[in-house]
Amino acid sequence: MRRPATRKEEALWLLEKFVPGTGVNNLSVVFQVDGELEPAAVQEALDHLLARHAVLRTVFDADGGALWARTLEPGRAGLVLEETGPRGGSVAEELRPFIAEPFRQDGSLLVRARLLAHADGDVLCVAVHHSVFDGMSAQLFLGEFTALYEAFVSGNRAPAALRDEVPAWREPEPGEAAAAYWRGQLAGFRADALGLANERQGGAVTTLDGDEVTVRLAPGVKETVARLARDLRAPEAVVLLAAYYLLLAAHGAGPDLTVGSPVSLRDRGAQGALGYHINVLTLRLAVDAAESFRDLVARARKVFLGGMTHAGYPVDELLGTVERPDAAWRNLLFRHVFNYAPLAAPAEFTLDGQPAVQLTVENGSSKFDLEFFVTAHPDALTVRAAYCTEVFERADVELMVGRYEELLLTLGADPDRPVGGVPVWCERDRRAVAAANATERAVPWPTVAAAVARAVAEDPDAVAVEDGERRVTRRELWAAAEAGRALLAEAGVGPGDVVALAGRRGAETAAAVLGVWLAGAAYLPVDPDHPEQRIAYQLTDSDAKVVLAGPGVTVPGEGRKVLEMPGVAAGAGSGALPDPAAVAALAGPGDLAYLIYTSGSTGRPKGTLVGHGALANLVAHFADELAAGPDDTTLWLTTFSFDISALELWLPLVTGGRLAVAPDEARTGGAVLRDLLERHRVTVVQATPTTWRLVLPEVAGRLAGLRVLSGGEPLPGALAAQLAATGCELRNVYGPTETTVWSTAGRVGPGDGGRAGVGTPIANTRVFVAGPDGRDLPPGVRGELCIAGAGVAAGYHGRPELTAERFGTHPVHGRHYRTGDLARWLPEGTLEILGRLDRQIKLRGNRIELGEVEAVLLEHPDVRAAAVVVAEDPAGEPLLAAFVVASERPEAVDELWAHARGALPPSAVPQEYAVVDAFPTTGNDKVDYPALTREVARRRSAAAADTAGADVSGDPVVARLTGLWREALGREDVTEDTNFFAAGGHSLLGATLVMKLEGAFGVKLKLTDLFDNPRPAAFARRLRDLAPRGADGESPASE
Amino acid sequence: MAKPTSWNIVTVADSDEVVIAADFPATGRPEAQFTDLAPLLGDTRSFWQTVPPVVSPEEGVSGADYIKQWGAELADSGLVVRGVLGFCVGGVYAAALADEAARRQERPPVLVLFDPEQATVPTLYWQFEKLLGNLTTVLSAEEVTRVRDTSLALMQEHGEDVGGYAAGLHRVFRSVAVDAFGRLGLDAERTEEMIGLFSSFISYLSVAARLDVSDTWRRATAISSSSPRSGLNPHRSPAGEDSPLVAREIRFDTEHAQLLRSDAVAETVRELLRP
Repeated sequence: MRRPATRKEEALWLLEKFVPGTGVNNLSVVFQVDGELEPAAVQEALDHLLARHAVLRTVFDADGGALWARTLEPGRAGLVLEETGPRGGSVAEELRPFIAEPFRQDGSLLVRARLLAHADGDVLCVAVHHSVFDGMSAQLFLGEFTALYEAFVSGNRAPAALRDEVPAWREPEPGEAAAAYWRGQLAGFRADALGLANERQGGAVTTLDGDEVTVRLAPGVKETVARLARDLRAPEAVVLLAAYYLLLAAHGAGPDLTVGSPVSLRDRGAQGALGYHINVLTLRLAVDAAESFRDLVARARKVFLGGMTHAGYPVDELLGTVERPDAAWRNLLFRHVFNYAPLAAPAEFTLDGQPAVQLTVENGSSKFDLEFFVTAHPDALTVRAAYCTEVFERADVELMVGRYEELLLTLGADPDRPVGGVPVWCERDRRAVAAANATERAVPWPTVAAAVARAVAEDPDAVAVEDGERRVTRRELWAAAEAGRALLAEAGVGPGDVVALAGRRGAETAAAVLGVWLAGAAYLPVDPDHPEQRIAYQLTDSDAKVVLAGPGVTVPGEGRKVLEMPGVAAGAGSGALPDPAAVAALAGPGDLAYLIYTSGSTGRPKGTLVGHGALANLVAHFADELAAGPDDTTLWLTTFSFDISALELWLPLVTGGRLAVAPDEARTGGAVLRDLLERHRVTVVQATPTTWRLVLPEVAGRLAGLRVLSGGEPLPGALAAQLAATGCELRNVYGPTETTVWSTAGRVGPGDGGRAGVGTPIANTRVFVAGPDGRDLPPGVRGELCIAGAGVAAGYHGRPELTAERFGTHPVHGRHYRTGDLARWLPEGTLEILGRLDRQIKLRGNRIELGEVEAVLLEHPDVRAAAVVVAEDPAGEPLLAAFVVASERPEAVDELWAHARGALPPSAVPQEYAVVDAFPTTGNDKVDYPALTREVARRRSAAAADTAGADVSGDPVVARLTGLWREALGREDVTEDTNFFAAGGHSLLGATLVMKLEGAFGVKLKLTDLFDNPRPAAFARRLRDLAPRGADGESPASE
Repeated sequence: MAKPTSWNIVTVADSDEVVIAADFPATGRPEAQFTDLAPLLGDTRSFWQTVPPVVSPEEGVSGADYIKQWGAELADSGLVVRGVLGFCVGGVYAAALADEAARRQERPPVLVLFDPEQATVPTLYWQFEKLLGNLTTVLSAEEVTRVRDTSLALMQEHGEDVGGYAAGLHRVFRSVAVDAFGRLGLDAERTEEMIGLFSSFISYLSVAARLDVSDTWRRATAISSSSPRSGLNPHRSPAGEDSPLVAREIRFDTEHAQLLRSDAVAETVRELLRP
């Protein structure tokens, strides 16, 4: 007699449709004896157990799209014990494939057993499908097996208590009250806020591959939890659960959270029942940062006990009550699971006088993102954290367990402080970040000008600047600086004034900067090649008193005081040498050194005010880190109006080295740059990744031994690897203008692979990663990068509201700048930048960093630049569109799609690609993303016009699929663009449709195929991918 | 996670206090149950009711073992027991549970006994007789007579030995039940279930005799119905006086079967539980 499978059973089997070939629902009972097992007695005990427990003989049949359960007759179950010899692996290695081997819905038995003759003693492994078994069944099974084996091996009958047949226990029907309770609990819940900020990027999960970390918590934790339970008047399980909610919230989930919690449904009379008798409760709790742990526990207690009271209602019935993101196929109600066993079953026992130990062997899958299984042992708690390897890195899970451990101790010490203020860090986190931030050190000079003066005084006739064939000594440079000072003083310039310097890189501009400083003023670098309007804006906005114009530079606008930069004359400066102390006295560390304009992504350019102390610190740091000295020549390559230019300019002049001036062409022409490197024997060179990419083919052979800096943009991994492979000493440097050129630096070695990190903070700089609530985030957790310390600018010129918005004061780190960059600490205490915060999007429930997608596209050798935007398809569904500056090869787009597909989770792979000559930019040279979004729509309507009038249903495969869609959904208004899941289709209906599709087209399909291609038109393409000769027997070219 | 199996969580409240009730809540019994009373008490505290252990009288379970899981699960909950209620023989378990809670917490719980009865051989006999009455449609007249005669004979034989009498009743019941339920068309599984239920009930009634809670009762409040054969009513001397077995008796003009669904009773209990 067969019965329809219950919704619970169906749900288990449905999951396997998504991850065919895995044993995601396979459970096991494994133990090892210190000796040998008698195979005949093992077989007899197993036979007896199957004869005794009807549930172990239950099998499932898939028939006509429906699932049926039936129970085999006692004599017909036919469980055959497999015997294998040792193959040299650990028990887990030997048995995992046996456990993970999928069971089938074809009427075959859902139990199998293997006797492994292992070097350390025989091991018995019984693998059972979850639909007939659960965790409590495993303990019951082992207990009965032990008694039966001991009887049979001694030639006795089965013990009297184990002779009767046990019918399958039926769970009581849940009442309407339970249904109402759960509907109420989950009303208004949205499942898309459950992601953690330390998950792998993209978040799409396709395999459920799992792993686990088991940690024994510090001895004090157990007592702390027991004490909290007494003080807060809640079960220990609730204390531990409430802390788990806090852990998840501190990692970016919620605050409206759900946690799954498996509960055995066995009532008092059914404690001995084998079978699938658990429900995973969806326990919903919103974490409020302002409330105390005491109050959180009180609310968790109510949720927990309420859930227990209504535990009989299966989770699968609730799926319809939660708003679902379109493509999510896994559990929608929760992604994180918590379980607590207050009394650990002892692993050791004896079997027929032999010592035996129960072992845990995982099935290699994890249904949930993360599951914490806390077990109380007599002297300590352990946490077994099982996780999905597509969601988390092992190191991140280890850290989370460490943070949980410390969190419990912290909460134990003061359960009444607001939970938002409780740090969720572990010792390893603190050590790594503290070490990275231990950057305090003395700056050897008060100002850059004083340091240059000292170098001039020490060796006035040494060459300071090389510009083509021209050589300028330190003395000559200083003389021009003095001339500049005199000129400015005459013009009435004094301390507190701003002087604009409209010059190109060269000795005159370098001397002019020194002249401005000697006059007590600050300089504003102006790029003479910028549009007139922009220059005029900067001159007006900055209140520049005077403009010093370089040779051949004309300054736009009327009514400005424009003076010519003093020239640097050969043989000049034979008089007195500068007195470094006197120069140092001209400006304090807080006095303004320069004012520099950067373009915001929105609004008008803003001028950042940088002090002498900040600049002195930066130059001192790199002088030290690069060990720059008199033997070095640094290339001045970057345009003067870009703040990073300052490092190239001052590094050699303060360390007694030489400054080699490069023409603009060297930034794009590899041959020009190579020539400069050779001619000037350059040893230090800094450029943006854009430049490096362009020049690398020509200069690669000339970089060995050079100190190379790359910064200003993300350094793609492939480019980093190519650069490092040249034999140079490569550093990836990072920093916004607002914290003075660079704030972090990291060495990149040839073997580092992947995206290049940005290293650690430079001298006297402290960095922290802040969550949306301002909380300091530990390693692995993404948040906004904030920078404090010596480099932090004074603010924006004349923009107090903007200054207040971007610059803040942290109780520990002090004054800091919020960069707007998304970043995380890596576990060892280095930083990784993940793009702009405002470019983080959610697509169908998956968190996607557009910068991340761009970085992947940039890895493709043909791509010079990439920009990805979110647009809408004609049905109003969001899609990712990629624009690339790439070679004109027509096949490049296809390659790019394949490349992205190989490197990104499916949800983050752009659906549309367009090759353009250049990106539209805002007035400030930044990519104009809104314009690109509009471009997607424009291109789509143009394409639609091209195909207007074409018979859209002319494709026979699409037509057939549309018919099947119509049939499955039971509605007539289905077109080739109807989204199955948006038109009333759900996963069970989807599974039925997939089976029909398999039959109709003779291909093997996964349910994920339907989730990824929910429209007939798209599914037709998928079908053709699967059957290269064309699903309809026609050439794929007919598309 | 381990769900309490020895307690039926009737109400979950925000507070850290719980009111617990001891009873054998057989489905379909004519008497009102604590699940009727709980909603009348408001939702300021959680309300838990005992789920009796599945044991048979032959096992000879001690009183301490019988209440062990109740106590353990209650302690694990961390909740403070504000009140302990007991119905009929449940008053014995209520007192034992109140003693245990008092040892654990700063303030002892309020103990309220509804028509409390001690576990005696006559109590057992009358409960068994009541059950037999419910089975007259199932058993033949001849079977009823045989069972009744045997139960009376057993009563003589066991004197005050409640445990021995219970084991005897269990055997008698089983001897007729298998045939009788078979005639009704119940399969072996259902029949075992019915017998198991009876066995649990008779254990519940008899194990209480192994607990001496007389001192605790003397500190408790009893709520008495107007039914002459229920609770303290048959044991008054002189008739009409309050019972010396409890500290205080509050009497209602309500039948025993209605006691747990009476608004007036609920109002009184709310007052008694008020801090």
